[in-house]
Amino acid sequence: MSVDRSIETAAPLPRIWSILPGPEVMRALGMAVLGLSLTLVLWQLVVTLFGVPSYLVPAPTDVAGALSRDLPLLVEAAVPTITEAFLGFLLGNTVALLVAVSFVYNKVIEEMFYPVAILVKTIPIVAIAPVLKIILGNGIEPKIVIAALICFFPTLVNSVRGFRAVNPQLLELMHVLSASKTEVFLRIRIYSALPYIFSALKISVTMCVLGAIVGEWIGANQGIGYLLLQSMFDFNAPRLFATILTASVIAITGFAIVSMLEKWVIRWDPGAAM
Amino acid sequence: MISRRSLLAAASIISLASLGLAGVAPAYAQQKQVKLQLAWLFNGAAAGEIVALKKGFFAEKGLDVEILPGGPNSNTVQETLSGVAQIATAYAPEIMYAANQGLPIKTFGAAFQKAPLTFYSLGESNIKSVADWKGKRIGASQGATAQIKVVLDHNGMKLDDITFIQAQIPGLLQGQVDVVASWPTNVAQNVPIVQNPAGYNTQSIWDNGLQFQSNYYIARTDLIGSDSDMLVKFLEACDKGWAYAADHPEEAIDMVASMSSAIEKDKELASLKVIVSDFIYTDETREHGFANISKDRWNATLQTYAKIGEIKPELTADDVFDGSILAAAQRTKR
Repeated sequence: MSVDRSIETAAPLPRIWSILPGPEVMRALGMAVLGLSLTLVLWQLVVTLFGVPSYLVPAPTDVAGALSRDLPLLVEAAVPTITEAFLGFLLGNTVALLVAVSFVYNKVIEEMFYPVAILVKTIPIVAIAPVLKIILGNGIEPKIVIAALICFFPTLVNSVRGFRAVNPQLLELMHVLSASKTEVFLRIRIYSALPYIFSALKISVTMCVLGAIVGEWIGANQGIGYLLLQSMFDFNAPRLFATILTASVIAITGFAIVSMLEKWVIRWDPGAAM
Repeated sequence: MISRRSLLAAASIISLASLGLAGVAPAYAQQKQVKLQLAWLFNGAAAGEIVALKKGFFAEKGLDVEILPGGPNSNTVQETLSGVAQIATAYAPEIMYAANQGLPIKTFGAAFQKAPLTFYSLGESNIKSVADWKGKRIGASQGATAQIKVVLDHNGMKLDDITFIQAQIPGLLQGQVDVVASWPTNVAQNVPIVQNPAGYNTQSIWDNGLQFQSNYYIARTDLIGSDSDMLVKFLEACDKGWAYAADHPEEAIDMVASMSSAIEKDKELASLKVIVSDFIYTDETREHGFANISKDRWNATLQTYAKIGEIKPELTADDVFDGSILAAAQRTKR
């Protein structure tokens, strides 16, 4: 079918270095590092000049000290949190994609279950977390489900929109070529949805870390959430900040991985192809 | 497809983890499995139970106990009711609220003989008694408002006579509140107050009209009836654990630390020493034995809560307490 080629000609073979950051990205990175350093210097100055006690706001040097001192502890705590967040990310997004596909192909299902999806979204996670623990026990499962719940909605909404955002002329063409529903899905809809899905994944990859942490607050003796709680309870602000930083690093790393995947998968110009 | 894969991945991680655990823990084929849900994270306040686990005191009694950590969002009453755990530790207010709703749980022992909740103020503000709270800003967690109400009521005041602010120790040090609630067992956290150059004042709920105990052991009412043997053994093992923790505090804290990497041992050690000397062992345990609960005390507490309208007035000690386990257990008097 000629229509395939019109999409695929824009896509050269995947080259691994094509997903690595280019010079413009390096510049952006450099500027960000510069901005961050200036903020840190300012923060240190304010804390030192005004004599802010370290139990309230620790100076960057205190946080750095806690980081180096507690690094093994932070790494150890990161492992379960990353595991929960990643599994929750997989679960939440897989379910969201399957539901999105069923919505696109069956109007009745959409009419019936879209309100349910909105309901799921509006449930306050902190309120549902203890209930999930009662249902699923004290292990890794409630944490994964909480992370999945947080991921579910953005991906659902975006992918439904993406699967629908197909150029009608393309659909007509496929119809003329007597393409089956499966062919339309695999050749047209997926390509139209991918940019939308990746936007959603970028949101949910940072949110799922938050979900895992909330999950750990209902009862855990390991993980970033546990470390946050214990540090708060001990008024150990430097370690609290170091733990917050670790959570951010996990989320940012997830974001970077999804961004690189996006670059690798979407090798056409989404605007032009649609 | 991927969902199955992720489930498989989860399953394999869980099975790997359980394999790892099985490798460490000796297998007790004949042991009765019991889950204990703590109200808080693993720390010095659970040292006795953790020692009983690590030193094999539970195993000696034929119990294979798993201790589950709690946290601020943990509701141990619900978790006991739903069967997440057979036994839990819980605080007096939530037990009374549960009884008020007619929920089938009861206390059968109390590790802490006195509830530690105490209100701290800096020497500068000259707050010598609860009477001096009038017009002051009182900081505590949201859950402590009922306790504050009782203490105020005991001194002829109402909640409107003070300003309640959700705050912790930093709030006091920053001048956001005049009085702040804390536990004297949190020795390290209280250091900035205790070391205040102008001194500090305290008013505990215990000395101000609210004498309930803390870290109660709770179980479902039907379990207390049907498996009292297990609960008696459990209580005896905890007794032994706390006695060992009192005699070997350093070793006890090492055991606690082995279950929770983030605790700071020196802080927890200081905390454990206060817990043992002031809260686990008191005149009442010297006379009646470990984890003692006084029925009169429960009745008095229920009355104070009924008086401020928190619970129904017809509740009595029998609605929250079953004395059969304490009576059947061999308990250390110290």
